[in-house]
Amino acid sequence: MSPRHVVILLALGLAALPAAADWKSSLGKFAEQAKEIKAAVVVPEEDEERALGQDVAATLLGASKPVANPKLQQYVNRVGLWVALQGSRPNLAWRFAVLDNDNVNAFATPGGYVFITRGLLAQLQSEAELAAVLGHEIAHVEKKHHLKAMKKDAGIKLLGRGVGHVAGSAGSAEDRERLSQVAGVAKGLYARGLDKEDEYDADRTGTILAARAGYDPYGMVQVLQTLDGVNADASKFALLFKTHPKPAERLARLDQALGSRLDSVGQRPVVAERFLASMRK
Amino acid sequence: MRKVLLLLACIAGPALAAVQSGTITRPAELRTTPFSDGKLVKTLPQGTGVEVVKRVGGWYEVKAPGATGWVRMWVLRFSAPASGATSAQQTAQVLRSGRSGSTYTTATTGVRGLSEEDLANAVPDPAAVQALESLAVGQSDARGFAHQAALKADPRALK
Repeated sequence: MSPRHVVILLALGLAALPAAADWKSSLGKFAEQAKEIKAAVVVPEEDEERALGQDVAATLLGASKPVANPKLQQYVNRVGLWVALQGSRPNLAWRFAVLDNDNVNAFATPGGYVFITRGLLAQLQSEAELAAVLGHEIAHVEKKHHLKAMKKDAGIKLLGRGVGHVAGSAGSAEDRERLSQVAGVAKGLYARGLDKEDEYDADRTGTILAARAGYDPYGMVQVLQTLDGVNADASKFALLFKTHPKPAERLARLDQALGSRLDSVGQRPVVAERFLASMRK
Repeated sequence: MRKVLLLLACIAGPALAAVQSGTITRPAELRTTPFSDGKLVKTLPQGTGVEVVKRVGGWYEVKAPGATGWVRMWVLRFSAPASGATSAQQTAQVLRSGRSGSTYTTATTGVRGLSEEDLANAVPDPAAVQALESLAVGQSDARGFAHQAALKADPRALK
């Protein structure tokens, strides 16, 4: 049931109210009932988003597995959560993971799953840069970029499953059917990429989140300059450069949006030592 | 070996681990200090090749033909190194793999995935999503971790 349906229900209920002197108590009772109906029938939007995100994450993890290094995974979770706590959705169940492959990329799914490849980690030089990259992905989640794009692609059909359900072989036939539908849409979207404007937006927001987390605010600039300087023909960059605007263009847009203001943040830690130590564990 | 690792870890950071070459992308003021009121050395024309020594805040220290000084970070573009990896990246990779720098290009594990083709052929793995739960950390853990590195939340930054 959508919120609009609840509103219609409420309106019907109000029309049926007796014009009695105790209308106030009737109204109170009705509001109480409406609340119960809503709780029973409407799956909270955030749960739907999370369930969809789990299916998208399952699809991405079908293409590449997390690195079998709990210390590294925990390190990235700590940095990622610290950055996410500075944003607009601090209480999402944020989950971060390093994927074991050489392709240079990072991904976010609806509901708070964020993946970075080992290949992209190898391009970074400090925790401030990692914070900016994770901040970029967190921004996609906060602003629901993938959720909106998937809804546009597939309509509301993708939603409606609560997080209580288990997808895959243990789930119901209905859940398996939904997982396969979500996987189809996700494969299309993650191979095609988001709208360019969403990427520029995530660069700005990622920079802001890293700065609010107390890091050197130039992490994103540094990462984009590194990517601008690589040999873009190498196959490990193929999907990244196909699905994102050119690094030089992203730098120009970031400069336009925030360039003159980054100095106002002042000198902040880049946290290089802890980053490098965590990489070699 | 440990001494070498320690040394490498110390020199990384805002200072680049090794000299990198770059190009000035638009006419850029070269200053004696990394501040906009630093004394002007000269204006570097677009296309000037420079060597980048280090970064401090939003500034790079560069060696330009006949002059040394600081330029804004935004005016620089790095050149693609012939090996496909910058020295700093090679350093990081050596630290990670414990191998010598020359093996960088072949020091991959052979694991593929997340190319466009791999994505198209992916079979969803819900169990792998569930397994992520055991790696998650709590909010107070994340806050303590930030504190250890002297990171302070600044909600007003770039407002």
